[in-house]
Amino acid sequence: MKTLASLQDFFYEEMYPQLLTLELQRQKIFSFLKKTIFLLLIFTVVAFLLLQNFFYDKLQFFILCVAFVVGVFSLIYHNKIQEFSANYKTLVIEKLVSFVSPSLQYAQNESIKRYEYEQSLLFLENVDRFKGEDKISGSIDGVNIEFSELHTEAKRKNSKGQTYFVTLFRGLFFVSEFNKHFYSKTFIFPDTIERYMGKAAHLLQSYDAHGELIKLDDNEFERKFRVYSSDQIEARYILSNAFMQHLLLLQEKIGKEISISFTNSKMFVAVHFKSPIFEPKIYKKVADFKEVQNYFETINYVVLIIKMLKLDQKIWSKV
Amino acid sequence: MQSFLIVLVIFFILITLLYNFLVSKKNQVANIFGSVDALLKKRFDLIPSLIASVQEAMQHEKGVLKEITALRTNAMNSSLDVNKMAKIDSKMSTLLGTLMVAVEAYPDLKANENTMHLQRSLVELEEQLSAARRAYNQAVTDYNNAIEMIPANILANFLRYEKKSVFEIPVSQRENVDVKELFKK
Repeated sequence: MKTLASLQDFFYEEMYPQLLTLELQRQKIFSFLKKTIFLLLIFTVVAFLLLQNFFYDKLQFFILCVAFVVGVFSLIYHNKIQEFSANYKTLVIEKLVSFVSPSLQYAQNESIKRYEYEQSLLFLENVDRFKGEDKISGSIDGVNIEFSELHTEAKRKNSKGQTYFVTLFRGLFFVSEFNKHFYSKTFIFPDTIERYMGKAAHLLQSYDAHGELIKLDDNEFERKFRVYSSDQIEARYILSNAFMQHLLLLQEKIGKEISISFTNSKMFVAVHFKSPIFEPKIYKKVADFKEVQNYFETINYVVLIIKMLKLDQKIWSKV
Repeated sequence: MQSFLIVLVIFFILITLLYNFLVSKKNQVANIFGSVDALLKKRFDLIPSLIASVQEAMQHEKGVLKEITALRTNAMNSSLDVNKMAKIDSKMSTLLGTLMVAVEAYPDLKANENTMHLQRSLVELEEQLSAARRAYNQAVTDYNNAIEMIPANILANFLRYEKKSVFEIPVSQRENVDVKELFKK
């Protein structure tokens, strides 16, 4: 596993000179955006003052003006940011991926396929909007793995009949082979209820579309996760005492909610995030080690998952 | 009269629910024990080939080999209840563990493809057995809790449901995690 010191060397030797050029581009775009918003605001205020008398409902006209500013600005913003973001990803994310492991490949515009997401059966609700990017794939210590950023949403209607979208999953989605054979379906979810209610939570959790609730013999694991499976014995074959301990450590290290499923002979890991992951921020300096370190740590989840869950220690018949 | 009938119907429904609950717990134990039993038999089937492949080389472990064979014969010949089977399983796991450690001292055996194949099969089977034992123990715990809790215990007494004992899980199967090592990486 790469150390922080080696990342620092890599940052200053391989990235820093080019990041300085990119920083100039960022500053130019940022100042252009600031000027744009300023001019747009002035234009709108002038337009409002001159034209307000032509409108019967002034408030409606004001809202129209604000919508105009927001609409035009977001068009310009997205147009400018797209190019900057692509450059940043080529320079930082792509390089970091090969730094984490030369056997990994990065594809900016690709993602985990929708059928793989659905195959995991982690999120059973129908997806109406499926977005993904930044796919990283390859093999580490003989374990084939791929992951990408995903954002899935479902359509809803409010009481007025207006449509809106709710997020089903946002975060990193990993698909990997597992080191044991299995034929059943097993699911691990974060257990928010048991942390507060204790064992009484089992009553509420007994009925779930994912299968039978599995009570495990590791109290700490039971407190943090709830497990469902179609096979009591195979679930425990997958979740050996050692595996449960490793998963607790992994979650502690990552510090985010993790959901895992074992279906179709594969292991699917969903690491939940609240916001986009590999998107550079236009208002922040890009030639900044701390920022690069954050991205490195996120990409490094792939190594943590393989090493900490010991996926490379395959049972002999899978070698 | 009408209210008496309502109480009677409610009482009957409660008894039926309680009875079904106890039966489901009992069947769950029997069901999982079926899987444990199948895996134990699979392990017993593996033993003759394993012993045949190592006995010539292992001159100093004749006693262990004999003991394993006797235990297997004992388990295969008689119809054993869960408690006896659990005891045999525990002893067999210990003996096989000792044997596997001893194999390490014989370079000839370690180079033998057949022995290694059998050893790896056994390790894999032991993992499956460990999972089955844990599932069985959980089912037994649920069953034991059910027959001891009020008011199910009254019905359980009437049905002569008895407490069942769990399988002992060998300490070696609870692999200790080297936390420091993990973070060092």
